[in-house]
Amino acid sequence: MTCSQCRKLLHETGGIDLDPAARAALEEHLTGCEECRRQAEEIAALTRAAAELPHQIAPQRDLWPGIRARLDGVGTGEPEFRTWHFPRLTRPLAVAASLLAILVGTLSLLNLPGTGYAGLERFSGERTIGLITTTAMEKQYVGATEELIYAVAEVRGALPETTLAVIDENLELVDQAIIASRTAVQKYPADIGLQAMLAAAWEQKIALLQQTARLTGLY
Amino acid sequence: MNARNRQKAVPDPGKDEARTVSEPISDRDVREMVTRAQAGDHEAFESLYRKYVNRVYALCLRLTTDAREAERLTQDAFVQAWQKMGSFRGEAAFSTWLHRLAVNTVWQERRAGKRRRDRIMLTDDTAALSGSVEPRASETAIDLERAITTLPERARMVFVLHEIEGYRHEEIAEMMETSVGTSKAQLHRARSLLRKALEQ
Repeated sequence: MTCSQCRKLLHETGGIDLDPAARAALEEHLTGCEECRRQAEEIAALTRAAAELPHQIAPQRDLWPGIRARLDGVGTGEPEFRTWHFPRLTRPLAVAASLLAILVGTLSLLNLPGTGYAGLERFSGERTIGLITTTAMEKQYVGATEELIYAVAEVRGALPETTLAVIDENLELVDQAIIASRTAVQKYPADIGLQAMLAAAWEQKIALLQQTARLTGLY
Repeated sequence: MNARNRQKAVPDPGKDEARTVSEPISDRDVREMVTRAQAGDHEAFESLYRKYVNRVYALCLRLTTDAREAERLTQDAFVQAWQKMGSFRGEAAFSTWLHRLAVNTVWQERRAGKRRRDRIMLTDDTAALSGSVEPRASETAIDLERAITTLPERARMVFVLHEIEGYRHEEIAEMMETSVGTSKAQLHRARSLLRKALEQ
């Protein structure tokens, strides 16, 4: 196990509820790596401290009168439902993502430099979106983006807060586009256009993460 | 008051003064109160409010770091709960349903862009928020609460939901309309920042 794999595992699980093989690999690495051991102890201490924080805090005033005043004339039988909608920026984002997907796809087919992220190579050749299932396709995107997310998370401290805020805002928008596209694909699974939109949103997420990695000097 | 001059709300785990006097009802009573509230009984709903307000407020306070906003969102969450009582089927505990509804209320508020985004000054005056009803007084807890308020918003929300409230990344991703990977990355970021803050 490498230090990177060890820290990813620690951050994802806190070292808790691991299967025996993963636990053995983690313990073996921690035995020989002082820095990872230190991080493991810090994460465990933080997790313990957070779990012990109080779950109840009283507001400074009684909020009931304000609530009670608003209940009159409001029924209790309103069924709960969730309306899925495309966020207001999704349309331009989706258009941009589609263009990006076409560009990336073209570069990939031409084998041109510029899409050198190893994760992308893993699913190049499978980009004939209509022939692969969304689930299988997304699994690969998830794997690819997670690798980048963790790599970037290690070094994002090198960027100014303002830049990080913009990056986070953009990633959030792309995540919303992915969710909206996925919902549409789940509703109309045979629609190749929707599958392409979903793939395009994922491609944009990878592009954003790659750009962030470049800004941090990661590669 | 200018947002920049307003103090950041820091829950103080060292104080155990309960300003809101809860009238405890048992878990068995909760079911009955829920049924009555679903039928439009305001008193039953008030009993539920008394039982759960401190938990809902603690969540809203940590997610927003602003006492007034937390009060308003707590009220919004209970009004929404009243409106949606009819949809509560008892598949999960009422507290779980209410808690999730509160998280959604905070998140939707944020999404609607109503929440002020100005960073606000952290002060040492925590008296206004010394409302913890659990008698835990440790410097570590106070330091951690203070450090949590300094986290960037998304990192703070993920940390609070995952580490304090016990939600899984999949649940957080769904509630915050983001991906599991992003949720994990934000938790990673929050932990790194907190470790640094607590070292100082």
